Amino acid sequence: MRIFSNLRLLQLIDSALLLMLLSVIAMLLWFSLNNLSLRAQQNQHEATLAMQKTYIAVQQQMKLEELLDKQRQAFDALDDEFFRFARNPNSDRSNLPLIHELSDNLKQRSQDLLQEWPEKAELQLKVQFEEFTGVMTSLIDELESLSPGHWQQLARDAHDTARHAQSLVEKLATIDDQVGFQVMTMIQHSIENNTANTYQLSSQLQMIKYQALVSTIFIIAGLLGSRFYFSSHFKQLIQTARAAQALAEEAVKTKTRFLATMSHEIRTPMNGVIGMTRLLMNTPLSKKQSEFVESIHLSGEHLLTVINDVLDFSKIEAGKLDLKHEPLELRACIEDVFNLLSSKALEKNLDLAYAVDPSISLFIEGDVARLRQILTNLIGNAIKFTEQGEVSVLVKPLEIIDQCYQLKFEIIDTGYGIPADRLESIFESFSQADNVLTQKGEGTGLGLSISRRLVEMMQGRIWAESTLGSGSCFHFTIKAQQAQGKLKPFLYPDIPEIIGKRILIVENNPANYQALQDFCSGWGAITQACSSSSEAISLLAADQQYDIGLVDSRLPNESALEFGRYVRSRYSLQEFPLILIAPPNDPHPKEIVRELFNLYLTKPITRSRLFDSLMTVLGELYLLTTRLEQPRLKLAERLPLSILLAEDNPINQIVASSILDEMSYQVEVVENGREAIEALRKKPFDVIFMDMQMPEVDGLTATRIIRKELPADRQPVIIAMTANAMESDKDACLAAGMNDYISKPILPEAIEAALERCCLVPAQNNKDKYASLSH
Amino acid sequence: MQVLATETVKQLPAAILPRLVKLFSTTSPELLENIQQAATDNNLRALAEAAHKLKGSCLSLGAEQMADICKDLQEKGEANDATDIHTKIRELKQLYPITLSALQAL
Repeated sequence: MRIFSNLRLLQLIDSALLLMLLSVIAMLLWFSLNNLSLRAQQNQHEATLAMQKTYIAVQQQMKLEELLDKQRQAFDALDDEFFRFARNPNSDRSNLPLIHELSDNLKQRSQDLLQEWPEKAELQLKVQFEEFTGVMTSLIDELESLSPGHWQQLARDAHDTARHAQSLVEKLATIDDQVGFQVMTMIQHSIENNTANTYQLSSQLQMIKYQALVSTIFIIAGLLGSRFYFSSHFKQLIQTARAAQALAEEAVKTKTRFLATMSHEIRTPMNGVIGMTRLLMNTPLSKKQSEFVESIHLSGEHLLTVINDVLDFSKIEAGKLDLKHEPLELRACIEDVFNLLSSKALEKNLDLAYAVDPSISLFIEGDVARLRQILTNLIGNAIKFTEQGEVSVLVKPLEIIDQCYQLKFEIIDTGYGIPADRLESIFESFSQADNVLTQKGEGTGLGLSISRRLVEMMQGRIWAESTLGSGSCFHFTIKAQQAQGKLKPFLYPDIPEIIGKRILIVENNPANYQALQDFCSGWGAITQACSSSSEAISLLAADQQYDIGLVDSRLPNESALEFGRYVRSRYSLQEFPLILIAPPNDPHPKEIVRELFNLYLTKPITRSRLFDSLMTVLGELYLLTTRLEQPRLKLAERLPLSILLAEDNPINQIVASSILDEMSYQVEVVENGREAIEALRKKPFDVIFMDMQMPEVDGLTATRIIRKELPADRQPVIIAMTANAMESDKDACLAAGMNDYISKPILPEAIEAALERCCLVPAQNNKDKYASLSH
Repeated sequence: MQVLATETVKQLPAAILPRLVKLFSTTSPELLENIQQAATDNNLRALAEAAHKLKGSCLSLGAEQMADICKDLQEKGEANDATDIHTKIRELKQLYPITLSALQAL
């Protein structure tokens, strides 16, 4: 969490820095460009102004020139007229009006010119000009007042004045030139100004360019810096995270190891507790005591399942569970589960039945133990939750592509059902926690969860459907390949002894009916199935012939016996053998059944049993039935003994104690030689089965101590059990004071023989006993 | 010699067989691990003891091939002879899953 918030903070700082840099560069650009555009506008304005000024100046000059022209013309006209007037002897006053007119014209032009006189230019010239113009215009008045004799003189004067005026006008032309020069200068100035402005603009642009470059470099440097800083920080953070992850993984590993170890450590003593309880149950107990012991036993078994479940669960959680891919015989797998659970089904009188679609090959590839675990779980649950009726298992192929199946399993019960709102949650871990069953001590709540995970590992899914009051159906799918396996005899199709045999099936349970038909026709028989005895009777009445009849003992209205009687009224046991398919606790009286039927077929129906039954009635396996001879009197009944078993290997403990148990002996089990000596000090034993190699005190040492320490009347018979099948070991055993020696594997015959050897003839001396060992 | 001597197994009471197989599957890995550890540590005495223990389990369940290798290992351990023990242990480890599945398939 701290790492996460650190990362967030770094990210925020990074982003803020980036934003700040970007906004700085944007602002700089904005101001520079703004300034530039203002400058450009100003420049434009100045240029326009200069142009306007130039235009006005040019106009003024043109006007001035025109005026000067006119002035000059007016002067010339007046001058000429005066001259002509003065020179012409015929001149008289009649010519005066023309001169007046010309003089007025000159006055007018002069005024025009004076008006347009460029300001502040050649003021002296202006005064002179005014003066001359005044002289010229006043000449006419003088002319009028003079006598014609003086006119010539006046005309000469006027001519002179006109010449002076002419030169003045020439001077004025220079003024005009000056104005032109001024205009030129102005234009040049304006151009210069413009150039300067443009240069300034370009230099400003240059500056902006540099500024932008510098800011970009700055930003890049900033970003690189920040990246570098952050990346080093990130590296640090990632290292921290990695360390945390490694720690967590180590913790998970430790947890798994711990669970595995604990489960193992708990399991071993639990096995001891359960084993001891089982032995205790065989001792004389009061009703109350045996109830308690029973309950200890049940709780012990339950605890073991819980531990196994937890171990499985933790294995799956840790990803430590690997599925095997071996050929597995699907039908046998279901049959195994039925065999395992049949006693529980029997307690409630439930029917167990299964049918596998014939299109599914005998062997598929998979993990038989795990598939069995799923089935045991689901079928076990179905049995638990069903009070009456049946539990059936159907297997169908959903799709078959290139020998690869998608199989669908359906486990259908007729129990109370599951409320709709729990259908999903039952697959969650420990979902049974609030359930009655856990309180009864029957489930861990992990079974379905484990099943779901296993199914998912088999590339399938699991779900449940249920109708309250009428039952539930658990579905699951798995993907599996067809496989080749070693066939057991009954797995071969078309058995020669069965081919062509007509088999009549009287069975009302659809799943059983299907299974019987599938099995029989697989072996090559011709089957006829009926769902009731009356249907079967009517077929027989119509003279249909059959070789074998398979009859379910639970036909409606107890009609199985009725059908049997009908058959026996027409055929003998040899002519038409009948097999009664019945649960082990079949209520029908055995004597009557034996009269009517050739054989019992114990439910649940499995292929191997059905095969054996058919072969038996067909006479082929007749010998097999003779194996079921009357059991001999148990050894313990002939030879009662108190027995101590000293063995550290749990497997061998179970093997030896259960073999002795079968002989009806009650065995006390100890783990090593020291415990054996202690047990022997507490109470006497007739026989000790002593393992040679045990922790703490081994068998030989223990024997020596026992032989040395205990009084003669409490000396037990000591029989060595060892896996060292060597003469030297035998000698060592006998030398240590042991009576006999059996080698592992421990077999019932060997134990029985040893017990008979050592205990039936107690008066034998040791030497003889030793001699008998060298066989 | 076969992986599994079924006649031995058949002699056992059928009711306890699933439990024995389960017990075999839970106790053997540890024993195999002990054998390996002892071999790695070159502790031949411990090797002999662990091999002996596994041999006991194997014999009871008719796992003859495994038992045979265990016997060899035990003898080698007792004779302080470290030749070939690693090869034997490898063989033993390879045999274990085969034997176990043969037992489970019963």
